[in-house]
Amino acid sequence: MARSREPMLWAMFGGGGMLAALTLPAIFAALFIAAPLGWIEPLAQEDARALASHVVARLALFAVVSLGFFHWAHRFRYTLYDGLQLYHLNTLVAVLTYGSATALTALAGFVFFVAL
Amino acid sequence: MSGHGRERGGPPEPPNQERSRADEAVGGAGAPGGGRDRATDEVGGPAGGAGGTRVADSGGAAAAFPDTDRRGPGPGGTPGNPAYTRYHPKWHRPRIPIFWWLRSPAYVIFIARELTSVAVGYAGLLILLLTWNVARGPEAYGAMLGFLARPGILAVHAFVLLALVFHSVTWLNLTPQALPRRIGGRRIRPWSVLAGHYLAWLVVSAILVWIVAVKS
Repeated sequence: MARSREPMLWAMFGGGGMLAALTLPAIFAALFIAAPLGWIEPLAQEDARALASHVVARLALFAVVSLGFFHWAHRFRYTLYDGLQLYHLNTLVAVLTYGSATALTALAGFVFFVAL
Repeated sequence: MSGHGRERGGPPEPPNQERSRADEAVGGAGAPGGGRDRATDEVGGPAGGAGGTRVADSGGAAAAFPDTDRRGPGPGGTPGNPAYTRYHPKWHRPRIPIFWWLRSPAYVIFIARELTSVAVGYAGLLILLLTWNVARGPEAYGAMLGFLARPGILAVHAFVLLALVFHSVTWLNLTPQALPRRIGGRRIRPWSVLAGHYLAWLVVSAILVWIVAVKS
């Protein structure tokens, strides 16, 4: 069964990689570099809340963040596999990486659709 | 059967070459067919408590290879468990040092590219944290902004941004290889795939920055 999951995991890795490539540098630069440095005015709390709680923004942020987690899980798993050659820990590493991505995705669902 | 297999979960199928070579070494009875099984039975290993009725012991062979498994004859002179073989093939597995990827700049770039996934995951976490603090109210949001403005945090984040850009560049550079060369009979040129993706990156980035900057 493990083999049959691979295409799905790869699709999530690929989708997350593409979304991250297109959106994350801009988001990260604007929110976490430019705004703290004062290059742009940081969003006021009510504006940030209004912006993020738009349904399109919720869905987009959830997609970028959760697929990004699965992108990390898949790539990091094989980095450990090839780089550190943890062949014997293959199952453990897979459970830890994909498990973390799943848990963090649940957390993202809570943050974007319940808390916000 | 005798439970001292030397192969730990390996494939149970013994290669024939090994067996017949072993047979030749023992008694020259390497002819394929009936003679082979008899020959291996003859050197059936140290009997010990096996309790099997050994047909013969050709003497030095068993003593010379004390850790060979016991291939005792089954009922009626048939060989024992065929899963066991006297000689296990040695697999060629060169030992590779953990830092093999420091040997060449290309390998270092490969590992760096793979590790950009950590930056992607971290960016996701930070977006989650920020959104969570936005949801909690002005006070928590203000504390979060103060945290983001710390010099040490900013230095780390500058590095993360570098990694994210490196991810984007390496990812988009691979798109010509990942997409089909023909769509509906029309040839797609690699450079146009590349240009399209970089254009998309530029447009998406501009829109996102515009949204954040104009709203503020």
